[in-house]
Amino acid sequence: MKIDLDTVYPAPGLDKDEFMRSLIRELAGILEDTVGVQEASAYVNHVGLLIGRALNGEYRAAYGTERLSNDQIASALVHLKKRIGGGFSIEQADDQMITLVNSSCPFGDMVIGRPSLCRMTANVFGHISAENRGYARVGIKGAIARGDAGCRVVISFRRQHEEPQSNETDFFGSLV
Amino acid sequence: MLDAPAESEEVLAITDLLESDDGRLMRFLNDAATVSSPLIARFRRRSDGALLTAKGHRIVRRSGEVCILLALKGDTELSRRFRLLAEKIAALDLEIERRRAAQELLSQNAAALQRTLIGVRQMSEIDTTDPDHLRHALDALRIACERPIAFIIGVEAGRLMILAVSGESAPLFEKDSQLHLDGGLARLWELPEISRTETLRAAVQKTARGTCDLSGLMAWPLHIGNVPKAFLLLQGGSGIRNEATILADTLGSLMNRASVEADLRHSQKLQAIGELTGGIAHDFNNILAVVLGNAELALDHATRSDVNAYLAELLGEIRTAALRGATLTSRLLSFARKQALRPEILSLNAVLRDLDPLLRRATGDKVDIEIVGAGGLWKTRLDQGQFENALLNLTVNARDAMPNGGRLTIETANTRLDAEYASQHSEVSPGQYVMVAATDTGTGMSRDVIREAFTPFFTTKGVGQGSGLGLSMVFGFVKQSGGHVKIYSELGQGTTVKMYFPRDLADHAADPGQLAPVFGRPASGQDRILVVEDDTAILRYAERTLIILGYTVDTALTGEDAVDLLQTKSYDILLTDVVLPGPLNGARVAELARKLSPGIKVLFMSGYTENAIVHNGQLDSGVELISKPFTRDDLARRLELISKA
Repeated sequence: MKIDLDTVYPAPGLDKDEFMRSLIRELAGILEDTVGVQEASAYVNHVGLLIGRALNGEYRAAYGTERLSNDQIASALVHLKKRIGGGFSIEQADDQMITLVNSSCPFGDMVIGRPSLCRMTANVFGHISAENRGYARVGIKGAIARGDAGCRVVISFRRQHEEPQSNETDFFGSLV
Repeated sequence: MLDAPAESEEVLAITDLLESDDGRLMRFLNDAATVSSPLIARFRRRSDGALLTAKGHRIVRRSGEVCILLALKGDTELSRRFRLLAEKIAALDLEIERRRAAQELLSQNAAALQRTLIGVRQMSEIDTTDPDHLRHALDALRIACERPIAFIIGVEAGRLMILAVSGESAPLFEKDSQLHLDGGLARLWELPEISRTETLRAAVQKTARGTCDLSGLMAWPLHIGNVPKAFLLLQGGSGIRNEATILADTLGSLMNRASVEADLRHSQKLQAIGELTGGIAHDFNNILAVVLGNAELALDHATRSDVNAYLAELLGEIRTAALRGATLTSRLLSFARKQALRPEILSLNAVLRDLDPLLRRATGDKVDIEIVGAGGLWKTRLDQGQFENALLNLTVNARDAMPNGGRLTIETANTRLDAEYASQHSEVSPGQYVMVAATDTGTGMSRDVIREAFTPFFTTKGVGQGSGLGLSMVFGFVKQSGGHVKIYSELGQGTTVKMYFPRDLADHAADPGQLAPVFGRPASGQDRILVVEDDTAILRYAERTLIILGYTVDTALTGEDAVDLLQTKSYDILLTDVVLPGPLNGARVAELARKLSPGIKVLFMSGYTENAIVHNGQLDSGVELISKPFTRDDLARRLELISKA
């Protein structure tokens, strides 16, 4: 049987966005299966940190400042996620802490079961925050990747003496 | 929290352990220091180049000092296999890319070869008699190479010039434009290739009648007869080196072919003129023989009877004019290679020494003559008289080319003409030659004049000053002697004429050249003589002359008549023409006469040499021949000589 695939609804196959998400999901899956989640997270840490550094430069330039304020940090983090299809919003932002909540992951449903990808968010947020405030502790309190309904990310600027918990990471900026 | 390392522990710099990878290692460590979670990257171990996975943990010592704990481990089996697979895929990609590039190059080469073959075929079909044949060849070459402009640069008459130009910008350049080079032409051949190309480009650019970009020109030498004599200039030639080299070789071959064909055409023209002039000279000699002979008889009669002094004077004029005519026909015969030569084994150095006074008289005081004889000069086999005539002709030409005086150098040398040279010149065999060169410092000749110099009656001298037969005689004589003659000349510089004669390698024991000529005094003969001549006028004159000389004479008009007489009578001498009508020619009659009268002496007479008695331009051994026209004294002397022999 001969049919015109362009006329089939829904169209079979993947669009570009779906393709990229699938690609990353599968890569992350193979990485986690091959080296374990902890090791895979370490790889993603590195990638997230490098991307965070680039984004920090972009937003500093956009605001025309050498150092982002708390509000600017919170707005930048929401904006950068929005650009890539994330649904983050500011739950709370003050001098000590920023809390962001998310209803839609940029990786979409493809992130479910791939917790190492959350390291992207943690490292991007953490690097930008620490570079502008000197220190930041990023805690992923809820994660779609882990099966939660949404994500909840808490960024604390107050230096804490307790060791970070398993879902927390400390970031140290060059200002310190 | 960790304690500080004990002082006894050995401390190594991290870059002693791992490759720094252009600072990537240090950036990784700095990054690891900014985050409490570990980072992973891969680095190469310095000691063996092995790839290690480095996991960097940020830790803080008790002292508060931040440091990085680096956990290093080799590849896991799976990742090692992944890596090998990836490396193989990458290598495969490279190989595919390399093969694709090779395939593309092969396709380009095949297309270029196809274009080159078309260019070669087109050039091979070019008619070299077309005055524009070089431009047509260059068009074919340029189109085959797909290049915007091309030039042929060559030397003509000592000047470097544009011989042909092809391309869209060709109208900006004029064919035959002279190129002016810093340092002159001679320096060009000594320059390195790059400098030579740039020098040529700059010189060509100067001749442009408008703006023209000649950047990227490349030069190929064009070999004509294995000698680089011209250049092909091609714009953008660097990408098509191979094709251009093949086409440049073809172009050189074409130029060589054009040169050889032009020489051949000229040679054929000279040969045709030779046949014509030889035939005319033969018939004219018979006429002159009658005029001269009868003038002598009449003059003799008029003088003896003292009838009329005025008539005797007129007859003397007729005789003189006939002798001048004989000289003229002799030269024509020389050119036509129909002169009967009497070759002797000669040392040309000795001949030149003897000839020196005569040459000096011929040139006068204004010209210095220097004769330079090479030591150990080989012997050659030549007709001495004709050689002297040839050299005298060259000397007179040199004198006329130096009206204000100058220097004439005549030199000899042993030389060898190789197969390559022989292939470039018609009628030249490779081998050893004795060379005689006459070099003057006169006005020189243009290329066109050189080409026509050997043509009979071609002269650059004023009316009445030259016959145009001097160099023709030289040409014919040298060729008839199995040699070669070549003119080298440049306008304003002078001229060299080189004559090459084959080295004589025969046994010299019986050297006829060493025999002293015997000149008997003309005297009245008492012998019986049979004269055979188909021209009745000559026959009558010969009969009358021989009777006056005291011989008893019988005559015959054909060979058959002569044989009839020989069978019935006895003769001391047979005087016969070489060419006779009917089945019996002169040689055959002589052969029969010797059988019938074994002691009979034979003297042939001829308007020009014939194969009957003359082979390859030289008389057969023992053959005596007198050339028509001849005087009564000549005839008497020759008859007396053979009677005594």
